[in-house]
Amino acid sequence: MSSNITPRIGALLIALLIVGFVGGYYLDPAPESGFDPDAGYQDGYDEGYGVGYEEGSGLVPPDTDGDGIPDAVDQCPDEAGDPAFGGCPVPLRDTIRMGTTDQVEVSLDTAEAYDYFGVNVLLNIGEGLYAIEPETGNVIPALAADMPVISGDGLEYTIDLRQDATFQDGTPFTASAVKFSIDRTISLELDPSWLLEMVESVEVTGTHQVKITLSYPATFFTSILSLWVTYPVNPNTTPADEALAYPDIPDTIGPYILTEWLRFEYWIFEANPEYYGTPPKTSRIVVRHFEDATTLRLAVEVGEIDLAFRTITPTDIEDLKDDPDLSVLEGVGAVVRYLVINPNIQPFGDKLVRQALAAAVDRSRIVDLVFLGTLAGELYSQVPMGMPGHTDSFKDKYGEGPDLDTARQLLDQAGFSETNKLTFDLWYTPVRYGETEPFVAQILKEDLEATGMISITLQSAEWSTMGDLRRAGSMPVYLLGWYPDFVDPDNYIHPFFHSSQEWLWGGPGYSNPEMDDLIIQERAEADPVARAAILAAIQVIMAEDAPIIPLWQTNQVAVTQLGVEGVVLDISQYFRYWLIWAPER
Amino acid sequence: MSLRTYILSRVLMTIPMILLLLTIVFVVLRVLPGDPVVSLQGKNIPEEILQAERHRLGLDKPIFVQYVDYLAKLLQGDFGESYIGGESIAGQILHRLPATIELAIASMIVAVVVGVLLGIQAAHRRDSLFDQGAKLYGMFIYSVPVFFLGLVLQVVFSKSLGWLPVAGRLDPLHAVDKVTGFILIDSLLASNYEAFTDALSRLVLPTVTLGLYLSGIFLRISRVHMIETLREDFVTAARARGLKERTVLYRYGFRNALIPTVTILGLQFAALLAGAVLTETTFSWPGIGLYLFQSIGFRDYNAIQGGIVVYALLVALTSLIVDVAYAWIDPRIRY
Repeated sequence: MSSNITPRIGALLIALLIVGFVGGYYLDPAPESGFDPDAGYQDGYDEGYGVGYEEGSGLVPPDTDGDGIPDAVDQCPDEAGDPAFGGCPVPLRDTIRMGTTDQVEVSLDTAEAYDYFGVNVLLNIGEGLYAIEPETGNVIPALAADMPVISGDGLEYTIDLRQDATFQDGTPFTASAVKFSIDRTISLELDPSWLLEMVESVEVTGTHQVKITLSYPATFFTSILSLWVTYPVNPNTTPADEALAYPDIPDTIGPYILTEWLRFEYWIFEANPEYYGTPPKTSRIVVRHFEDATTLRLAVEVGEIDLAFRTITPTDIEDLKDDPDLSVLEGVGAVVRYLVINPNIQPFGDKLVRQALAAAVDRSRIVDLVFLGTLAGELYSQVPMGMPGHTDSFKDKYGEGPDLDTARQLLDQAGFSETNKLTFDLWYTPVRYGETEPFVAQILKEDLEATGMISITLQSAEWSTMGDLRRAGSMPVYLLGWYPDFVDPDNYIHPFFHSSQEWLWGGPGYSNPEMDDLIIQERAEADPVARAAILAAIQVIMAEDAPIIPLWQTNQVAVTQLGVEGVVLDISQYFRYWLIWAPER
Repeated sequence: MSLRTYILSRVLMTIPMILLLLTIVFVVLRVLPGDPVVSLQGKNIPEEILQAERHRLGLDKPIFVQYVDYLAKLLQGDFGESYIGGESIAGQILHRLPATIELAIASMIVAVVVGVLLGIQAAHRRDSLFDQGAKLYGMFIYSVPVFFLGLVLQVVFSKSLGWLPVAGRLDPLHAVDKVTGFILIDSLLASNYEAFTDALSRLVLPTVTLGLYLSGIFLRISRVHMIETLREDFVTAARARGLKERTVLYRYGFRNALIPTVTILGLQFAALLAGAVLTETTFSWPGIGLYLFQSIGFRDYNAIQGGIVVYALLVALTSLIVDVAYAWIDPRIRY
């Protein structure tokens, strides 16, 4: 008797388990949002889809695609999917519309582009030997097969290349293309070519191997190989001796192809069918140019675009945070804003005067009043926060807030008084850095004049005019900003503080042999701890000499419609279209 | 003077006018501070590269030589190349001109219809509440900055009501083969009704903005002239003959008040193009006005000069058409 009952009980238990599972599946609906098409659905076990089963018990139902949904009820058993779609992948929209006030300012040639948006377009249609990993900021292989083999003296980089990549016309990617592209950028000597100033030669050592020799050791060189200026371009279709003119685009290897673009109007990106890597999550990205920030805000508010990135004003961003249909995403920024003091114009050659200005500025007022306390951070070093080696050297020397007493003492030592005021023009440019710039200049004027020993006249000039004035060295004090070329502290130090640089981004004519020596050391130092110590010493001198006064670091902000996912705002400042996706409406 | 001779003389007069304008613009651009090469390269290119680039663009030549070179090319229809990426200015102008003409014509229709109709009615009901309201509207609408008016309309009709798109001329995904460059026409030629609807809906707000802005001046002019006309003996006679007031108003009064209004229409076309710069900027409307605005920011000399020449030609052409139209409106006028 008992022998007859046992199988029946077993069968009943199994039936109950199946009913429990299926019932659990249908009675516990899957979440409607927040799914990630890449994540798979192993989480299904935690959500009750596998009630009665335990892994390793032998009772786990077959699940070929491993998405947590048993094959018996999975409408797409061979493809990881979502319970809300019967186990099939979440249907994604094939088009996402973006809006921006940016535009391509020069060209889309890898050897010439040097404006934010132009470079970002290239980032989405091209790829370097290395890339910056989203979120972590780590340098990872892209068109290189592995990390480089670096010689003991740090001068030779031997790099194996991928063998499965091709250009858009089907031309195989080889070491010759790498040599052609880097040599071309250097020989054309256009604006961004200085980024490759350390490259002495590029040698083809195999069909898929190159050896790059440097003229001096640069620990950040692998980061340089992630920059657009090194992106391989197709040697068969790219002229070696001239830059491409509008509307021509280089044939590169990247997740997207730019199929159509009209300057000042729009850019259409389509997924590159020849791309060796993971296809973009959204097959088509349409980017529209908006002439002003207010219209861009309205466009995202009314749903005319799915995503707005660069640049909505801080007050508009605060407003949009209250909109239930929108997400305001904030990410760390690597853009630094600073005041340049020209030591060639007296009395700014006197360090005491520069230090007095550094002591008197009130960064918190700028951050609170202009950026509403959240869209920027007070910055106490030219090296931004979040970057390895950053120290708050200006805070250490001058304190957190304005120290008017110290500023007055310094001005007094420099020969100024309330009756003999330090009088100068403070220059800013009203458009390039956004509509907030006049307010920043006004706040700085008020802060510095609060010493009672300074009198400032605000002057503004359009960007092109300001370029002339900088070149002529005729502005005593002026506001500038720095968008990083690559993610390394060196990019915030060498162009500004090394005496060999005539960049005019720093105080023109600034020279300190000790600073020069330390900069050479940090460039060559491979040990992170030792390099951090050198960087700290550099930042101490930076605060002491004060040819530049760092003011604030801006955050990145994107505004999206609810449901738009995959926006990564990391310190690289890259805006990666291929990661962005949204479920079908 | 025959009509043909008159037109010919007007066309010939246009040439020195444009030449003078072009000379002024050419000189002023080069005298003002701001180097286009520095503006475009953005960063601090080495001096030798800067000079090489200036040489490539011909900016290292004496200003007179640059001027002669430019004129010689212009006579061949060559507006030169943009300093931004080397694109053809003529190509850019041809691409953008239809957008401005489309906007200008539609705006002028709105301005005339709203302004003149309100003006006639205000004159007819002189000193009534309607007249006071119309006068107030005329003053208000002409004094409101056009970009602000555009913003208000965007907020009301795009954001609050959701009826119309915020900006742009056509959704980039509604590709229309270019035949005439006028999207409304090209989309109909291609039977692409989706694109036509989209383009039409995007035309409404900038048109209404610019049209309403200009309607103020039309209202005031037509009201004043209509009041004067309605005092004339022939109007009194028409009324005495028992003609309907509507007939008196529109057939007798309006036709006679139309001549000064048409004169203003010609003059206001220049104001319309100036307003178009701001309207095109507000609505990201890719016309010549926005092109000029963007080019000025880059110190793109060739593009600025090209844009201004086209603007001047448009104003001269409109002025000529208006003058010729006088004869049609008023048979008393002879050339």
